[in-house]
Amino acid sequence: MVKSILRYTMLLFILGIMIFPLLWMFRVSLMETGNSIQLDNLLGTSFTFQNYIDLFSNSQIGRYLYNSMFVGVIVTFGNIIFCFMTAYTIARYKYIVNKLLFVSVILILMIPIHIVIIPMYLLMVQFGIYDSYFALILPWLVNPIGIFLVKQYIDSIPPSMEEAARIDGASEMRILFRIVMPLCKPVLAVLAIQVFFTNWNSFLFPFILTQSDSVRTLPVGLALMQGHQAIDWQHLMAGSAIAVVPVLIVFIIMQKQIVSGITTGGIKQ
Amino acid sequence: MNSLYLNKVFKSFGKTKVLNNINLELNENELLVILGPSGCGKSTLLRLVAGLEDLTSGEIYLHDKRIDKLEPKDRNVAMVFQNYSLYPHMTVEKNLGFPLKIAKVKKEVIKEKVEAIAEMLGLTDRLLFKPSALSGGQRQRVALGRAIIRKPDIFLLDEPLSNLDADLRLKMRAEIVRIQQELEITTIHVTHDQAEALSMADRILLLNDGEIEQLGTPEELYKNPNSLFVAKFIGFPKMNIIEATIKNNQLMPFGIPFESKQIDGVDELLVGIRPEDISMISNGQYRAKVVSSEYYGEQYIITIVYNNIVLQVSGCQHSKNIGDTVMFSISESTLHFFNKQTGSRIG
Repeated sequence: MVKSILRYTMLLFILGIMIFPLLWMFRVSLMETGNSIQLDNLLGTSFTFQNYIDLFSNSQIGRYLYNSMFVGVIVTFGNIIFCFMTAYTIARYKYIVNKLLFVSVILILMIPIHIVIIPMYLLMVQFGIYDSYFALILPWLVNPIGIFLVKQYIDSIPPSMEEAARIDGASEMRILFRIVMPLCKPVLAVLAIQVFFTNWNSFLFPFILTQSDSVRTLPVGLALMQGHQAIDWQHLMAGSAIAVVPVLIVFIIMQKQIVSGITTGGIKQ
Repeated sequence: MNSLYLNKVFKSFGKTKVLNNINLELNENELLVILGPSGCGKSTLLRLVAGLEDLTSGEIYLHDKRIDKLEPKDRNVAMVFQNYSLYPHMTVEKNLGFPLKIAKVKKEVIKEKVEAIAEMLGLTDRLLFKPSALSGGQRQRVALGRAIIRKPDIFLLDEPLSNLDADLRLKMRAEIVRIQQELEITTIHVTHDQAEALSMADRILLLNDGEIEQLGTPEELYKNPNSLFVAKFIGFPKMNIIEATIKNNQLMPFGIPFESKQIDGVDELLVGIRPEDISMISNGQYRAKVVSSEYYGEQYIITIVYNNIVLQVSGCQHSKNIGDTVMFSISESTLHFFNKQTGSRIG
């Protein structure tokens, strides 16, 4: 009894530490502008939704939200399709070229992404797609971690399933998308969640590769809301809360897949 | 008319030779069982016919049409895999109808055929279930159903019963033979289980190290094994193999009178005696000691030692105590003779 009380107290303490910044963000976003955001002022001041109304009526946050969502969804679908197709080819067709391809995928994993910032910027300018959706989408349609993840999963599926379909008369495309893809649903769900979250939170590349409001994503837009002299915390926190909500919703819906993705491969089925 | 014809088929994986000069003709509606130890190339042979592997050299004809260069889907063959290979995300109904759906058969016809196959295999009440909700035997029947639904020219079964428990395996053996006869489809069944081969086959092809060791009816392989390998592989308990010599027209160590011209100048040979051909009778010719007695329900298998030679005797109705002295007889007509060097049959 005492043990479990101690255990729950400990857990509540950890939970408190973790959830406090989130609650603080929501609380500040509901304060009137100009109020102190110090801890001692959190409970006393009144509550208002004015900051949210201001954001949607006076700023481009709706546009940023749409851009983030649009880019995130396209990039996620791109990753599901391209990582899956590349992984399948590497896993099933054991040619030397494919082995080299896989090694190069692993090598890419070892290169810090920030090294490519300048080349990427120059490339986008040369392609004439700087400051467009293409610059935010094209470079991220496939990623090495995704290929690696899906390839490992496909390796665990017996090839006889595909052979059976081949004998039954199915084309390679049909085998790929109607037989293997549904079997890869768990790993593709994990991939989708990871890619979407990473993309949603991505700041550096969208910041460098865009300059106009029409294509800016939410994290970049929020960062630019901070003035040079002062920070309008209430509006900034309201913007942050708007950015967090879709992530929370996705997490609550996909919780099972996220947890199963974390444990995939760790335990014997 | 032959149904399937394999002409000088060779298959290598890199430098490893897997199949060596396979020549084979299958009769119409025949059930051929390919038998052999693990790694002898039996599954590879089946995969060559299915088109899942390419030949190194040779030709394969199905109903006089050369098929070895065709894609699997163009050969009109059907295959059942050891692990069933059902599509786990589809219901039984969809699994059964998959080959027809690909062949763009009309929905109503697919439904009709699926229902007919389901009824034939006793799966009618399982049509809306996914494979994970089925028992091993039911999954196996779905795999069979998916293979036969589009009436293939040949039916290929790759160790389909090895994942089932003993009881179900016996049931499914009979089921496969029933379906094969009912549908009159030429069938190749691969197994490493000799009991399965003997009980199901019209003919057995025994493979050893990628080569045909013997092709014949189960009786031929059992009664007239044409090599030492066949003699040892077929039969439970295994055939007793004894080193023997011919001295003064007598087969030693048993002293049986022997027509030496039968083996033409060979003095040293191997003699094979089936365990059921040794009779333990009180007035037997030879005296031996019992070293073990095993109970198998319908019989005892007793191991005896005669002149330092260990012999197994099957079909015994009574147990013996270890150390007992017993008398036994062997009839000369039941003996099998093999060349000591080559292992080939003599006489």
